[in-house]
Amino acid sequence: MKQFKIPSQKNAAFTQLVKQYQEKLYWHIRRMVLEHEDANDVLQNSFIKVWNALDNFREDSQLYTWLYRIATNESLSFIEQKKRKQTSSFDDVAEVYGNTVKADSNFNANQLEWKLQLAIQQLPEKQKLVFNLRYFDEMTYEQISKILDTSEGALKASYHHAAKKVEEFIKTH
Amino acid sequence: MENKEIIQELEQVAPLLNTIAKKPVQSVPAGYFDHFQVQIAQDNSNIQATGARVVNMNTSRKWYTLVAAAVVIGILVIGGFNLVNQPTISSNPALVINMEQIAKIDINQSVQALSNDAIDEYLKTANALAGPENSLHQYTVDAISETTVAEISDEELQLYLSE
Repeated sequence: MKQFKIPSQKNAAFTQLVKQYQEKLYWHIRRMVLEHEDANDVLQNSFIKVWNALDNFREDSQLYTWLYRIATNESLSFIEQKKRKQTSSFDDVAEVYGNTVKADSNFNANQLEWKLQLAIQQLPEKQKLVFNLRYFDEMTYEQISKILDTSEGALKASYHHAAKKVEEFIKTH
Repeated sequence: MENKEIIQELEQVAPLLNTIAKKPVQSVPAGYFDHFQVQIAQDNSNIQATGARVVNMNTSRKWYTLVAAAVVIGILVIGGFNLVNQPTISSNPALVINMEQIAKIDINQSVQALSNDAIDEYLKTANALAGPENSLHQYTVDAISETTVAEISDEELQLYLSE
């Protein structure tokens, strides 16, 4: 973070930051927006936001959770915009998400990993976020709490509820 | 440490999920992460997403736009002013209808003074203007007289003559 304060080293430090976090953030975004092109756009926008806000970044907050917070907000904004554009045809969100998952060239209906992906699409947006951050990114409830501005107790309840629903879906499909 | 906690937590809530690999399964273009970059602008003041085109705002043309806008506004204002101040019927003495003079006219006397030919001529003109559907051809002066008298009952005629 000290490099960001030195103008001559800011670009190099940012490139380093992008290299370090691009893959983690990409998958976090991809799990939300589902399609690669959309994930790429949201990732680009997220890093642009990061660059513009670097001067105001407080070192007392963790860089990791701060990046996730920006990527999460960008993803949610993107999803909202997409929903608004697709109004009538977006009535059954879970079905639309499920179809997007199935459209992937690697999709295999018999593979447990793909069943998990389909199961996650049945969750409401917020529950999906909590589940992804805990299950895939293996974050502590404290970290998730900083990203989503929600109490740890509520997050734990949300995650347990989501995990049970996902398991039930996989067992019955 | 956290990973162990997550496994134990899932073991109690949804153990099946502990058996699934967490490796991403979705397709990503080959070499995407190797070639991914966020383009930083030369002046270091901002960065551009790859592929986004910078649109140069040509400020030298700005005054043309302002002049064109002023001309359009001028035309609209002058046109509107002329429209509002157009000479109306009430301000043109030749077109003013003098209601006092009209009130003084004795309608019955004026109608009596008209010849049958003049009334027929009026009805013909009215028929031509009204068109075939609304034609008043049956209402020539003679036809009106004959029809009306034939349709009046004797009682009504007696009553009329006694008045």
